[in-house]
Amino acid sequence: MDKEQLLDKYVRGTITEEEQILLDELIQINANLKEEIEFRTAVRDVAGLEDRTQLKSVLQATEQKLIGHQTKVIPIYKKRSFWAAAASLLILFGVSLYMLLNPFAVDPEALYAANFEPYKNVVYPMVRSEQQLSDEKKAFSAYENENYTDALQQFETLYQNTSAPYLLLYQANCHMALSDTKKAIPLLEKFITLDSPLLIRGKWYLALAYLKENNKAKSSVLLTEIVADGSYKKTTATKLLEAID
Amino acid sequence: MKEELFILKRGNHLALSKLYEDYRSYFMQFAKKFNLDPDTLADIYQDSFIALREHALKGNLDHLKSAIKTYLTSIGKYMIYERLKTSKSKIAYENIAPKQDESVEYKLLEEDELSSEQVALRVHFKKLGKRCQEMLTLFYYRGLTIEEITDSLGYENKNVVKSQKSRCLKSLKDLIKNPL
Repeated sequence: MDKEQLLDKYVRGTITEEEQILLDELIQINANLKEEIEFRTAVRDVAGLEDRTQLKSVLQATEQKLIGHQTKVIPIYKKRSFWAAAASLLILFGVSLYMLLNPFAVDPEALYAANFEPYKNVVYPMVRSEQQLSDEKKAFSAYENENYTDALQQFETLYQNTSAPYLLLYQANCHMALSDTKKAIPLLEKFITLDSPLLIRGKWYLALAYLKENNKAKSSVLLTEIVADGSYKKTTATKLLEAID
Repeated sequence: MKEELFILKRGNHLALSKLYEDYRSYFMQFAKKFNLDPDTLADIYQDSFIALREHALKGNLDHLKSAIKTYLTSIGKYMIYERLKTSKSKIAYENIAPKQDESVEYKLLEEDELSSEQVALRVHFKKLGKRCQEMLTLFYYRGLTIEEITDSLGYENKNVVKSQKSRCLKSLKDLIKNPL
């Protein structure tokens, strides 16, 4: 057994009595080894502290989510709840993809955002007719009830009538929820060519969709743009990039 | 190995948070008699759960005869006791003081107890790439074997992991010598 292994066994607390004797002898000859042991022990402790701090954030986020479920309030504003639901779904989808790629990855920020980030009314205020409002309400309601097939159909009709870009994002959401990423991709590709305040979000979901289809190159390009933009998902996108490369 | 123990020892944070959800109602049921406010209780539960994992990593649960969640509530009881002792609570904490034989006391390095060297090391550690942070955490703190790390992080073979680990240690030393 080389001294490298002996040092690590000592720091990891798996050293046997015989190995300990051997290590003591080696330290007698080479005093630097003692210093190395101290260094690695400090690395272990600092890494542990860092890991526990991150775990605490994850558990706090989980707790918030659980409490949220217990005291569910009726949303005052339908769209907000829809967006929150849509965001949760997609970010969770993103997280699970990410976890798949990198089983020991940690992303408390995404976990948190998936559950609590209160979505502002991100859709432009616009004049809507009563009929249109009612149709949107139906579509949202179908979505919230996880009736994605119906919701999709309604979003498609709404888009044909209004051409509101965000409806493309909604449609893509439904496809992704139905595990049909291939159909989500062209919609998202179109969406990111349109002027929308949700552009970066669209890029994020498209990057995930590409990933699911194993198109790492295209996903990387988008993730790099997201990182460069820096306004949304910068950290997560950076991690994903690292995981892909 | 029991699945729960495996998650505690090897699971990532997402898997751990699922286990946290599984044990939660049992823990809350046990803790409600102490009349703590919900925020304090949640905080204690989180700390107890983190301590439980620490025990698992140290091998303390390997030969456990009772159920893991029973062990968790023993930790919880100890933590509640400690919390009440330091607070000005009117609850007679003497009544809940753990008996010696069920004490699950242990010491963890806390942020405010770091030596100046450790504080500096922590700063440099965070400057390492994510892959290096992960590698060092998995190997030195969580105690995964080189083989397990090879599989988990998708490295080509053991030797790549070994040399990568050495590189990470070296990068960290370089950062300490020549801070960016």
